[in-house]
Amino acid sequence: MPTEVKGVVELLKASKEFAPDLLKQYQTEVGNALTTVVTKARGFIPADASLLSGWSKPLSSDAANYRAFPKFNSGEAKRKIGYKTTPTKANKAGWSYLARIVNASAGGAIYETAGRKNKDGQPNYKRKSVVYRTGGNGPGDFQINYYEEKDNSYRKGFNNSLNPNAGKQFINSLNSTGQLVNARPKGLTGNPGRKSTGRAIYRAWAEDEGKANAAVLKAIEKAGFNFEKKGFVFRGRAR
Amino acid sequence: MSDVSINIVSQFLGQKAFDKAGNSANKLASNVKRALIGVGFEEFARRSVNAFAANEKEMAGLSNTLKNLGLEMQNASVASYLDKLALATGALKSDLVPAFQTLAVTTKDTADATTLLNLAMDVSAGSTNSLDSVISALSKAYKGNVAGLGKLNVGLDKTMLATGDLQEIVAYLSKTFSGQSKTAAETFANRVLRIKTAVEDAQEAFGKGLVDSLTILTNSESIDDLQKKIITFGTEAGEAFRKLAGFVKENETALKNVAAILAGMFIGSKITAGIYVLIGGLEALSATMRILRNTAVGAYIAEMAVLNPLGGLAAAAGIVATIYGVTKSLDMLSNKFDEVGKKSNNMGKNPIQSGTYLATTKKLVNYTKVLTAEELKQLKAKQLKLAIDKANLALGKGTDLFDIEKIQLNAALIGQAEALGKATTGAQVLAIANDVQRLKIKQDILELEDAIASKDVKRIESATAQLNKDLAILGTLQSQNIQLLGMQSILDGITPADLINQANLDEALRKIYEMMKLLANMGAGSTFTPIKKPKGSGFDLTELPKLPQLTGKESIDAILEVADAVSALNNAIADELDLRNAEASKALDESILTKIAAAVAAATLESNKERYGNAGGAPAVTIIDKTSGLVEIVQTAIQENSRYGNSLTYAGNI
Repeated sequence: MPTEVKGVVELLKASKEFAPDLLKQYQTEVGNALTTVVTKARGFIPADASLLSGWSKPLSSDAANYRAFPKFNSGEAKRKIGYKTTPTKANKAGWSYLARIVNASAGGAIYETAGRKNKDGQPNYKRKSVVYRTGGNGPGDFQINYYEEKDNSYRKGFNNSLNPNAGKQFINSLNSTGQLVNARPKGLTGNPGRKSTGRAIYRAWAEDEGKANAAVLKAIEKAGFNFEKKGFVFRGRAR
Repeated sequence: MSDVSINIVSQFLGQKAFDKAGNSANKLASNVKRALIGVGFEEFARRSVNAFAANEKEMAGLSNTLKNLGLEMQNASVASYLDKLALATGALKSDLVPAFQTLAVTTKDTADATTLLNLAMDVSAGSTNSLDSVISALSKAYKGNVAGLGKLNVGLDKTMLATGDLQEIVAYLSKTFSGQSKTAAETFANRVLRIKTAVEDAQEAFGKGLVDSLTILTNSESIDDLQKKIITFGTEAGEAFRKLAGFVKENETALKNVAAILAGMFIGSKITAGIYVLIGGLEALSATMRILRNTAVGAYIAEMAVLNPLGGLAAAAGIVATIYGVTKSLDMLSNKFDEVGKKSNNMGKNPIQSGTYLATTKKLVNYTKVLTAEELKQLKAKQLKLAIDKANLALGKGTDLFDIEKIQLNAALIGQAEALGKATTGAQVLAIANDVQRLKIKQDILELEDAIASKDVKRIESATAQLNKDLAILGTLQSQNIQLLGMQSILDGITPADLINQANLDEALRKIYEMMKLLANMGAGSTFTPIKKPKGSGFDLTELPKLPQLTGKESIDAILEVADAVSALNNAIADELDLRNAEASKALDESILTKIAAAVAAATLESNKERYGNAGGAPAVTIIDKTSGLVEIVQTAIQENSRYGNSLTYAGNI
């Protein structure tokens, strides 16, 4: 009775054990398909000088006991854009992904995603204004604006700069080199959401218009077909 | 920051929550798989024998208890009851047997014990109490102590407990928990447990079959007897297993056929038919396998199939997983035992008594000898080849240098040695040393060729080593960067030993002595003064010091003392000779000068006679002083120059 394999993850595992040549062929074909997207995405990464100068300047001191805001390095960002052909572990919902395009550097990821949640940067704390009177509502009155601390906790998700427009200026700088693009194909039902929006890999994926995706699917089907030619049974294709 | 990535092509692998439902089944599957396949035959057999041993121990304890209680007639029925109960409820026999034993001891009646055990099973299944705790409480209650039952929290009120009426309590519990164990047994989890129990029973039975088979095969009367025979068998077992590979190869077709039959049986899951098929397959095997079939495997599977089809399936599956190994190993064991029995009929005796130890030892020694002889032969051949290879390599180095014949070498060496003695410059010594070394290498080559022809490994190795050594020396001599003349070891090696030995020194002394003697004799009949023995000299030079011939009885100290004395004497003679030579030389000089002076005087006289007449006379020598006034002139000039300040030195003189 021939051995039966269900699903692409099992197919790849079985190929690793019993037909490593097929696995290698599959990885090569998927790699070729994804390399086009990766190359295009690397081209969307701007030079250091195109962005705000402070972002790419090295830290003045490395003695800080906290993780400073990541610096941007164009070379590193390009280098760390790549692809993976090994299936991921199943997520909480039970889904495993067979191939991925990743933007792995911190600076590159910020460039990729900054502004997709808050187009003008993170919000400022609630501004509290105090008006000091000099004696009546006269011209000598002046107003001081300050921002309330919230239980002295770290203000994650808020603009921590003294410059209330820092986030907006930062995102404007990024937008000047490349706009956020949603990679979700048009015409699909449902809310496109912001999770598939970015300036480098998502933009490249969108501009690829599904060619890489089709090539990956073709590679999987070919792997299954070749696997069956070796006397195994492959059932169920990935969704 | 979360991973920024585009996920391509997904597959639903299932949520964890969904998996929980199938966990038990998966675990069972993996356990069965591990038991039947993963661990392999050896591990399965070991586990089976262990399970059988544990079960046997428990059942033996129960049997003994029943016997002590006078209930031994019930032994078989109790065992059957416990087997069925375990399979029906999924409870482990390792739990049931001690429980039944406790109840039997308490009630001293198997019927009561059975009733209470059934009740305990129901109560345990219908409550959170373990079977042990319920059994313990029921046992105590049977003896009148019902407090334990109250702690079980099974709904017994204090009034009922206070009465201590066990019948009432049992009736209540039976009513309350009736059918609980049966219901529980039908749940999915318990069905899994029941299958597991069946598999474990199969293991135990297989272990029993294995032990029984060994017992029958060895004609053992008991386990103790089997143990002794196994120990004896150990010395022969290695050889038996060595033949295993050959056996499998020879019976490959038969084994494959059996495998096909067994596989067909289990794919179809037709147990009854499968057993017949299995038996049919087994008949194709050897007589040893028939014993196995009749005693263990077939009977066991049939029994299990009757009791419980599911258990029968599991049991048969366990057997099938091991049938290959059993087939092979038991056949080999059987054959080996037969062989041993035919040869010496010595089973049961120890190796020394039976002579097998000696025979085996002799075999091993002979085998070792054969191996050793062959190994030595191979080793020698390898050594010879290696030596010849090395020799050929050395010959290759040396052959290019020469083309003269062996017969000329000694003469050439002697000639070079003589030339070395006459050499006056370093360059000459170097050239001669090179020539001598080449001649020695040629000698080495000829010796090596002879050695190869003789096929004497040691001689070849020695000749090769010598050739390499001399080649190295030649290379050193030819190197321009090394101070060759400073290499005393090389020069010593090429200097003939005859030039510097004691005999040559003695000969030299003798010649010196003869020369001295000739010089001394020169004075005889002449006007030369002969050499006389100086005053105070205590010996004559004709009396050369000699080392007396040794008789072999002298001590080492005495010989050394005499040798020292002879050396001292020789030194003294040398000093004396130096002194006498000096005196003789002086005397010779004086004698010659005297003669010359006399001859000159005679000749002058004769000349004067011719010149001045017969009267002769000494020639008159007159010295005429023609330097008068010159001193004064110079003195005056200096004084005047000094007076007028004229310098007598050159300008610029320091």
